[in-house]
Amino acid sequence: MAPQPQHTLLDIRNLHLRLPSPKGELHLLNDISLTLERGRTLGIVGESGAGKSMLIRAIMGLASRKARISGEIRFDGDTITGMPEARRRRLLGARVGVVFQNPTASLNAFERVGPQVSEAARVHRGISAEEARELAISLLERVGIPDAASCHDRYPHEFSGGMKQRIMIASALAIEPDLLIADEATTALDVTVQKEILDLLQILQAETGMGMIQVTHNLGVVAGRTDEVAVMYGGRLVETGPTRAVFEAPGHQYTQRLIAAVPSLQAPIDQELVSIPGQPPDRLIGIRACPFAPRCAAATPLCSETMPVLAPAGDDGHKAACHHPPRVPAQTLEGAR
Amino acid sequence: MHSSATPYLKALGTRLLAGIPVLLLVTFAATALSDLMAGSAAQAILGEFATPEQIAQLNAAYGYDLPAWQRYLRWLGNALQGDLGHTLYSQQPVAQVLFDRALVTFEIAFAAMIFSLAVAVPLALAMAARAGGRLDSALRFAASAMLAVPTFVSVVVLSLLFSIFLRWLPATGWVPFFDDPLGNLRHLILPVMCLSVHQVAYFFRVARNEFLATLQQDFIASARAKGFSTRYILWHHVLRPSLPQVLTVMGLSMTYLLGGSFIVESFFAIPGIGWTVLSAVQDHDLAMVQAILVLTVLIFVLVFALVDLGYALIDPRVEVK
Repeated sequence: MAPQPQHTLLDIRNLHLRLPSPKGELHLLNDISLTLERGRTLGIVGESGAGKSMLIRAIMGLASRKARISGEIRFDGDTITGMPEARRRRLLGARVGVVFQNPTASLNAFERVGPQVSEAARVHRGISAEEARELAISLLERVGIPDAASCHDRYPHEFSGGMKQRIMIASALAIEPDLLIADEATTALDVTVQKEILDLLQILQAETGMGMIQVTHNLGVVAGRTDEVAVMYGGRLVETGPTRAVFEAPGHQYTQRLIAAVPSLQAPIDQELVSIPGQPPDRLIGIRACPFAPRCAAATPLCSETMPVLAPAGDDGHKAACHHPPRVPAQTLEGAR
Repeated sequence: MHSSATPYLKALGTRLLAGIPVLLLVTFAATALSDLMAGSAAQAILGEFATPEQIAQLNAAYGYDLPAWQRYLRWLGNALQGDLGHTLYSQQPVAQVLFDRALVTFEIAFAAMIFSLAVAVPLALAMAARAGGRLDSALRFAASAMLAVPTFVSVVVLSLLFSIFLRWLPATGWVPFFDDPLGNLRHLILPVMCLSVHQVAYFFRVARNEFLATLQQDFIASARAKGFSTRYILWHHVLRPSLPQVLTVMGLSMTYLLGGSFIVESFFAIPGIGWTVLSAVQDHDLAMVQAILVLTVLIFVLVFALVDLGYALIDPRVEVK
């Protein structure tokens, strides 16, 4: 079923990002095409350096000024690539909220919590001081900060890491975003706090109907919490599709190895943890082979000669770029949840 | 930040008390050092044709022949009662003279500090936004060049330009503010400019680098993701977190401003403490030298205490103790 254009919140087509470096040009994003429908959740997974955060930066217009970007990004129908910087900044700033990895570093330690929460609404909507205070307190309540009114005037260092991340979420919600991007938002938190924050995000999304992107290297964050998943490797999209389909029948060797590498509590205690040997690819050169081939157990000469393209790997738009898709279904993700 | 000022006053008090040992050490050392002067103090003051009777008389009056510790205790006892002695030749109370001279130096140092900050900090903010650009590189080069110019060169060059060639400003002298505010301003400009050559360059470099470091912080990335303009981010998110570093440099630059006042005041014949201490040393006016030392130590203890308190005012994570 072809998605109706007016419901597409984010539409990325053939996005490339090159960054000049002293050693040569880095190919950080290669031919990325993705869509996110209004009110849906997309998980972007991959190892560190796969290009997940760079993709978010490219969407938000936060990539280095030296970066060369080609391709098209449309947000709710507006083409934001090539848009004058100030216009793009205001458009996205007023409609997209981002929650980053490290809440302690992401909050301004010198400012009180409340004004930081309402800041985006003050800047983009010009609300009054009293309105800002009310808004901040109601948002702090909404993200589960106890005694929100008295927390309004406290400083970030007076809160725990989990509370700070709740405050960051509240500050991202101030503009009632159409899209919320959680960029490794739970990575720096305790496991129990991680779950609380993920649950909170899920509840907030259900309440507001905003679209959400979960960027993570943790498959457990994505499984069961996202509608779709996009797997990135070496600055490329190697697999994309409905989360359930991707986890149950991965269409790419890399995805399967990634799922197999998730430790399971059900596994015998002496079972060795699975890892993927080797290093992610050097991004200096635009390669013509499968980027995963050097680390792939199923690789054949074909893999190092021809770049596999994203091709249908199942129903509902499940696609993978693999010459030798895994036949065996991957283990279920019990342990990852 | 606490709503009440009491913890700050308490903290200020503790820091000032902690300065007392330093004060005693420095003043005692100064007393002892005068023993190193060639010949006796009385001989130096009265000149080579003084008779032994005259010398004995002076020693009896001032105790120049006593051992250092006795002279020191005598001075300390008087000082604690508010008596810093009299100037050697004009026999005015040292405290009164010092107060008048210190006002002059403070006015110049304060004006130089304000002027330098007012020029350097906004410039540094603007350049941090376009770091690596042509204007930024040019200003960094200019700042390095300005830092390399010794004050005794800048006084000559600037007075040559503004007093001799352009004839805009008086070359020497001083008019107190309350006698003639405009005249005071005209006499103030050149000394302040001379002191500011260094200060502007120094503050610019430190502030620019600090602003750049702050711009790399994660909370700046979240501010950018919220779609705020660079100008907004600089004023609302970069300035305050960078201030502790600037404050440290302000404290340190007091040493430069006081040291620089010696050169500037003697060059422009301005009756401040820099000029006073030079003539007091030449005249062997020991009471005056001692009093200026006390004042200098007090200034430094106070400045560093204020810097400490400033950290607590700027950064909510710093508690006053």
